[in-house]
Amino acid sequence: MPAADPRAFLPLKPAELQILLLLAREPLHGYALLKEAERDSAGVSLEVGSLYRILRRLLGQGLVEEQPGDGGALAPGRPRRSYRMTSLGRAVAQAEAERLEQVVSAARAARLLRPRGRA
Amino acid sequence: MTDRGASGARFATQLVRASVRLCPRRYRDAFGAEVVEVFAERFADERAQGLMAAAKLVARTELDLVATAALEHLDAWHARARGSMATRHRPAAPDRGGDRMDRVLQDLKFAGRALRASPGHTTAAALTMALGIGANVAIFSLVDALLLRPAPGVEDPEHVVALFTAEGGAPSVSSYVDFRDLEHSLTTLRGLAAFKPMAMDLSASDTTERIEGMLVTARYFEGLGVEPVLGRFFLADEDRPPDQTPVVVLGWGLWQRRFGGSEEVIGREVRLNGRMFTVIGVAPAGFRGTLLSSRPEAFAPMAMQPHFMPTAGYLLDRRGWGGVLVVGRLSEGLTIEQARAELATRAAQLRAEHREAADREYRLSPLRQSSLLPEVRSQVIGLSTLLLAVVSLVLLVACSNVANLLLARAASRERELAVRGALGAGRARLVGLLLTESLLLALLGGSAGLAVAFGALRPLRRLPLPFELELGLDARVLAFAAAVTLGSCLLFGLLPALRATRRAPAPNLRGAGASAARPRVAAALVVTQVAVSILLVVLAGLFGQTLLRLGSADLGFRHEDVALATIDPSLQGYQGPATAELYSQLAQRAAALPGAVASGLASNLPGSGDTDSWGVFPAGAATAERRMSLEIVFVDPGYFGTLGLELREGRFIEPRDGGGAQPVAVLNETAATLVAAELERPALGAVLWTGGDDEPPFEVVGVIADSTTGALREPPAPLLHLPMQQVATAGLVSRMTLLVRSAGEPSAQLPAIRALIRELDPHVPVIATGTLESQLAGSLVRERLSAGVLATSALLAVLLAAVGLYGVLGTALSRRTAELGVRMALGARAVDLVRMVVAEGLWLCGLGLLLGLAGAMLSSRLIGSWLYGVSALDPVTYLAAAAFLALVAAVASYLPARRATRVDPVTALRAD
Repeated sequence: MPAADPRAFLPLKPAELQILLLLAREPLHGYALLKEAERDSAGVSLEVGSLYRILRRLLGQGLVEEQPGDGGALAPGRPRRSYRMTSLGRAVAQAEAERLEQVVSAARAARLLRPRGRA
Repeated sequence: MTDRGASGARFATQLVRASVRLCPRRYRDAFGAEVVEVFAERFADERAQGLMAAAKLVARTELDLVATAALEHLDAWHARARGSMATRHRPAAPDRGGDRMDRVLQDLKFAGRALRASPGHTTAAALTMALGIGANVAIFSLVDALLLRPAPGVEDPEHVVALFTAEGGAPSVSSYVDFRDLEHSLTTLRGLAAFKPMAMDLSASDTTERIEGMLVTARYFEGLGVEPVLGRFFLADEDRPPDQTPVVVLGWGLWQRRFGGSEEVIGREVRLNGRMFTVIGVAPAGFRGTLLSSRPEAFAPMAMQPHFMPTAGYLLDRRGWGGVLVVGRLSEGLTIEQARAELATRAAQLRAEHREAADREYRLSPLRQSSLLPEVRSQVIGLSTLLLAVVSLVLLVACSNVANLLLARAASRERELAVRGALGAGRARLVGLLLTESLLLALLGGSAGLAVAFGALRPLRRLPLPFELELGLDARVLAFAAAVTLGSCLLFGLLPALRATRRAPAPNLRGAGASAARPRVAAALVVTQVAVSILLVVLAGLFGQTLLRLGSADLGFRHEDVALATIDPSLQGYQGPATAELYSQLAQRAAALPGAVASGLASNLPGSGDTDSWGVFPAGAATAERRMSLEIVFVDPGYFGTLGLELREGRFIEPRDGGGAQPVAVLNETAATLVAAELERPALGAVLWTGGDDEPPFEVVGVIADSTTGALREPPAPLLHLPMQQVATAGLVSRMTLLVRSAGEPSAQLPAIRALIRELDPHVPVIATGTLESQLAGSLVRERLSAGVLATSALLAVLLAAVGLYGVLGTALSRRTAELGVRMALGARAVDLVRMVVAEGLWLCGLGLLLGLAGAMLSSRLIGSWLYGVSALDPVTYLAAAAFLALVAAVASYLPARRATRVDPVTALRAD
């Protein structure tokens, strides 16, 4: 199967990008995702219902996949599901980041942002 | 986490789990459990931060879930519309949902913003709705548990039916002999089975305990589609009077409690009422029979009935006797109507063939509607209707309050709406926007309402009902909550939305003042609100008085300070004189207990409503025309004094009325009147008999005052008191209750009474103990329950109504600020203006009062049978209610009027 074109998925919604960015570092389960998102002050505030809605879409699009249980069961006998980014997901996140970079450059050109410099 | 925290967490989790069900299947199946788990973990975190943090999390999660559910449904809908459920690849042009969805989302966003913009207003409206919706959901869950839910543990309950027999009155229990005939001849029903709740004394190891049991015919479990968790159920030949050891099936609870859930229990022998039974199986955990009123823990074959009821061993042989309940399963593919048709044919044959069945009607009803006996069920339906009517009124008041709040707010948003209109938003769009706001508000109120209902379930669960109810927020209750929420959203949202968007944009853009139309709506609201309120105040007053009077009702005997203990020595083989001897020993020694003032014995307690009727005839004339039906009570000489019953004529039963003496009886006044009319002579000294050839006639030696014998508002039953000593020789006495009046707290006597019984015979189990007071409370439960719940709901509605009335009048008035300003500027005196405004308010209220009072009078027929000691048309209650509301109305118009007249006229003129 030919690899899907990552650019077909752009632009990502902010929350989608945020989830992908969190998963770029390490696979996480739902609770950890919410906690991390909360800590990320630049992020969008997320509640559990929306989180899983986004995960459903990302899973459906093949940007994220399930990682089999890694212990730390929530309920005895039921493995906690973790999610990790697929290579397609990584490519899409990258493409989105590049797109945003262009947006930022455009913003600078329009003098909405100060030119890059040492703060 | 503390206990309180744990129950909060349980509720919050339950709420989230319920909300997840709103989502489409693909979401629920994939993530439902995870959403709940992650939420539970987050809740624990936030709970550690405090109650507010946890509450905020719940609110955020709930709103988010509702929105997620809506969006997921839209997604699923779009996916279907594209003719493909494949979601692996998004089309190159990302699908953002189309116009309609955009618009819905936009409306949702605006609505959320608008609600957040006025938090005080939003909170007030949501809380009002929460009370209204919560009251409805709580009452509905009660109705659901009582009337709508089928028995748990039954396979495919929709195809199970119950058969009742009506003989003149309401359908009730059936004759076992009839059942046998029907069992063999009906083809539309398979697995027809009879059962009969039966208390049993279980002895295993050293202890004897009283358990609830059930006698069942062999195909009982098969008919209900229940499978054993251990061992097996009955074989056809085990439901016959056996020569060898009979068999028993244990309920799950008993198996766990007494046998530690051990599999070794199969084949073990247990002693039931003094006879050994072999355990052959265990019923599954969820199964508790099909009646709300019994939770059997052991199932024994119906054929053992004479063993469990030695004084009524004939029930299985005589067609004339009722006593069993019948269930059956519809044969494959048949409907209940087909079964009814066959039953009708068969019933006609039975009536023709058997004289005893000549007046019988046989009725089939779905199992779902058969968890209570039909007579009880129809009472419960009556009460439920009334309760639902009252809580609907509460909801109506709540909706009217919120509608008024929205109207007030719409007035302040006129300009915003006008701008939107001018920019091209059609009226439909504006109405949609406002309704979206109402919907969000209703959802907020609905969620909080679920919390209110959950809170209300706790006291409802503790109600001293004769059976345990499994109250909970199940799928049906949630669906009801959703329907109520949506319905009330339309109710309170539509009118203000239509009103607000009605006028042409231009005048509002200029900021012109109040329209001519709106005060009419406000006036209509005032009238409605007052009308519903007065109805509810009247109801609250009537039911409140009923509750008070029930507590202080004169029962005709002294019920305080009496301890009770019920025993049945016949279960241990006592018969005839031995029974009498045991009982008189007991009564004598109980009277000598420290602290005891008096003691007596009775076969039935006054006010308990469970008495047996006997046919009694004038001596020597046992013909059907002269039959008098009297309720019989076997008593000992101490009985009358212990209860403080009053003598009217003659004497009480005395110690000299023993086994060998001339048979005597004591009547109550109602019975005396009946006897005097039949015999055409004074009852005192009359000679009566029961019509049996070997039973001697007895003389009426005394008449006592009437006392309550059943339900409070029913007239006393005719009572015939017979000396226990005299009837015991005929083998009629089995179960009796010992009554001990003491100087102090009666329940303190209970240990001594138990010890006394053990001393007399350690094998005779004590069936029940308690106090007469609590026993009566139990039998007054229906009364207290209905009056209590009705009074509470009505009171809640009164509060809402008073607040709402204040709001409605205030709003109506605030629109007139400008007008009042003009009048002030023109020189009107403040006091005149206040008088004018108050007079107008009162005039509107007067109209509402008249309508409401008329409504209350119309409803008096409906509520009459639920009142006690007060008439449904009690003028004092009506006047007091009217005065109360007039006062509320006066205050509600006076305060804002005064405020309005204190405003500087110039400021008032600027306001619109």
